[in-house]
Amino acid sequence: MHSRRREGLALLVSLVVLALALGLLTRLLTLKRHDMGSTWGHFLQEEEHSIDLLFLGSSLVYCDVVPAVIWEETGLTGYVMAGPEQTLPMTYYYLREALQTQQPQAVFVEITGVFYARYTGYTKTNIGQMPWGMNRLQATFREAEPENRAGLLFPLLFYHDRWSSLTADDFAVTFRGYEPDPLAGYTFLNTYCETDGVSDRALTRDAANEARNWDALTAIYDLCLEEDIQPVFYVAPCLHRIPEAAMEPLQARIREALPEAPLLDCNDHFAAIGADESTDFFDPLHYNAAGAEKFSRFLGGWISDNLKLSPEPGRDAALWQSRLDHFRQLASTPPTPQDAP
Amino acid sequence: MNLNSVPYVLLLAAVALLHWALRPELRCGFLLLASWVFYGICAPRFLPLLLATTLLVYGLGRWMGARPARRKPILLLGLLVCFGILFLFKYLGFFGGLLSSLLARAGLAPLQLPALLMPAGISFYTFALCGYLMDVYRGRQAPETSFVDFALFASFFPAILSGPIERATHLLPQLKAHRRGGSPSGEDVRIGVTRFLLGLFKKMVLADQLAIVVNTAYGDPAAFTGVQLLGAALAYSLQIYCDFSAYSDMAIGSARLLGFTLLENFHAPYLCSSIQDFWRRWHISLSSWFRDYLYFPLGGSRRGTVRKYVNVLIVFAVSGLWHGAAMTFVVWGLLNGVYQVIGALTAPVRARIRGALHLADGAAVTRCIQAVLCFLLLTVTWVFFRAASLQQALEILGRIFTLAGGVFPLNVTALGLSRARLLAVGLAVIVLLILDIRSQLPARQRLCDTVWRRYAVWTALILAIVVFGAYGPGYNAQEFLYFQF
Repeated sequence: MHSRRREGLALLVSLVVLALALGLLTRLLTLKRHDMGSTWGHFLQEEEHSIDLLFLGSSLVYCDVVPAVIWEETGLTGYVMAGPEQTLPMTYYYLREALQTQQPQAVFVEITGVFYARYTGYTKTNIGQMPWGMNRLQATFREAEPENRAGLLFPLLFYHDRWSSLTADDFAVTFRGYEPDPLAGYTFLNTYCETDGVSDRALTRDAANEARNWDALTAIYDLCLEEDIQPVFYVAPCLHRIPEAAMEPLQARIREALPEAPLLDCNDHFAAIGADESTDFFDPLHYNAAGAEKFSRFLGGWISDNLKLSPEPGRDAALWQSRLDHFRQLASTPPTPQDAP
Repeated sequence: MNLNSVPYVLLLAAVALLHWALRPELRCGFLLLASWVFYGICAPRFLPLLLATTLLVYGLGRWMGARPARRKPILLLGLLVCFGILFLFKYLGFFGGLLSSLLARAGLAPLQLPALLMPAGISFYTFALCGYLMDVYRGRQAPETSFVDFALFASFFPAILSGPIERATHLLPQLKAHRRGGSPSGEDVRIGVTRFLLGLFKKMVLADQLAIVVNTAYGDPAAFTGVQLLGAALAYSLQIYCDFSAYSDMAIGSARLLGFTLLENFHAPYLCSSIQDFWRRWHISLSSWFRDYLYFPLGGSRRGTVRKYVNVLIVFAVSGLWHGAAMTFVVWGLLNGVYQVIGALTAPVRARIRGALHLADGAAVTRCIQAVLCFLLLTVTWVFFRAASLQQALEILGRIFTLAGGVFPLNVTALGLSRARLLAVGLAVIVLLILDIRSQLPARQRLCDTVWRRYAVWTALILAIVVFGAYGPGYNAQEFLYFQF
């Protein structure tokens, strides 16, 4: 009997040690994310209920929207919680997760994702960086490629191999946690490419998938109204655009079916934004820092003119001033041309 | 289904739990069903062949029991059919190819032979069944009357794909005892889990990491220097040991969790004192099979020295062929045979050299020198075993012995593993060496002799496998090397 008790105790202790060690290893070995979207670690460092505007979508959001500049224009605090080539169903889970700690006044959703394929190859990042909880689990089972699900549930399957390339940052984040992001989710890009004007993107239409994405857009809309949040749908300005034949019917449908959400096609205001095609684009889809600043000023002006929002009292003005200063300091370095491929 | 896969672990756990929950008289039937399901998953097309061969050998065994006077022709019939099936699936292409090249030299049209897939585990279960027939013939084993027990002996799932090649005299009595009852002992679980985890460690942390080095070098030998190829050849010597002994450990561990003790297959082979000693420690279930059913019937050492050496060469040539239908395997086998013959011929000289150097037989230094020399000699044979062709093997050995490309820079990372990974593999090899040395020690000094130490070892093994193991999307899952045999 004594030996059985000892056996049971040893088993219990081993299981606890194993669980703790696996948890720590998962934290240590998982890829750390500081920019290019899905920066949940940084987002969760924001003071609770301190954000007025939440920007969701794909790289068209985290490369183009500078929350500090919008704060300068409007006094409203904001955060970009987008993910690479993020599909709209994923965006829905991002919204639900973000609302666990924030109660924004308005949520901006970039709608190009309606035309994205179901699996864009970034679910490992989009889901894998989410905090553990029901939203992550639902996203894993509903939005991840079947072959990626095991790795999303047991991240060491993806990342155990990183033990030989760990950096000081991995240890710092593991043991001290993420710091708040001074760029509030924006990804700073300071190179420019040669562009050849406005053109249509090649688009492969998939009616079933577009219907799925539309359902997600509707779910985002409904969730916003339910939470007393102003939903705003917009199309990011870029040079390679979704063809009018696809975009116009979508916008008409949004206006009709989701009337509470203002719709802003920024490509209609391309000239007003004032970005220089020869120096302000990182690539034909994304602005660099100079272009993003101009676009963010335009967006700030649009918000002031079209949304009846006012800054919540008690916002940390010093923090946002430091964020603006940080962005200005980064942007003070002139952009450089990208190397030819 | 690989033994190092999650589905196999789940299957094993489910089978073990259900098996121990069943009434004793139902357990063997349940295990037989589980074994057929397992084989059906691994090789669905060839399940009927396994069943037919099992039924045939079972019937022939009973027939020998009923007609003792006719047992010789019955044995020959059984061996003819079993080895005929093996020949058809495994060797037809090889010998057909040799014949075709001879015909082509004579200006005749080559043979048109069908390309047949080899049934999983056929070499292993055919040898187990033929061993049974020969044991019945010799009167060492009574003809088995229970088809369930016999079929379970033939298709026991932990061992069917890559052995150990069981003997009826060893496994059938365990099956009989199993029917009489009992429950899993702490010893069964302790040994079963430890062996299984040790196998996983060898496979995932060592064998599959070394496979990256080996596959890189053997994929394009001309791109590497002689020193790099030497590294790859040494890596393969370790890989094949880790890979195959890993399978054996996992098979033995799985069986132990079900209450059965399978034959041991490895006994720290690279700690051998001679090539002959190596073959007493390597793939023991196959070596002993050849000894009992081929070497002894050929006359063994009873018909004079020359005949003994011829017998050794025959056994090793056949052993080479058993491993694969290619000249590389035949050369590998023959080379091992030649080593043994030379070893026997030079034994007095070597003893005198040891004496002159004051190296006492059995002393640690002597054993160490012998083990290193054997390892290097065996590495030469493994080059033939691994190479895609004789030409490639000779090319690799040529580049190694001429130090092609010079010695420096070593550029060890060119073989596909970073320095950190190579260091980790090196540490794992040291762990393996310590485990092998410890396995030679008396039982009381073994690794898991207290509850806390055992759980500490299990936890450490699991964590080592999780972090350092080769798995996940970045890796090509490596099948066990002996699956191809």
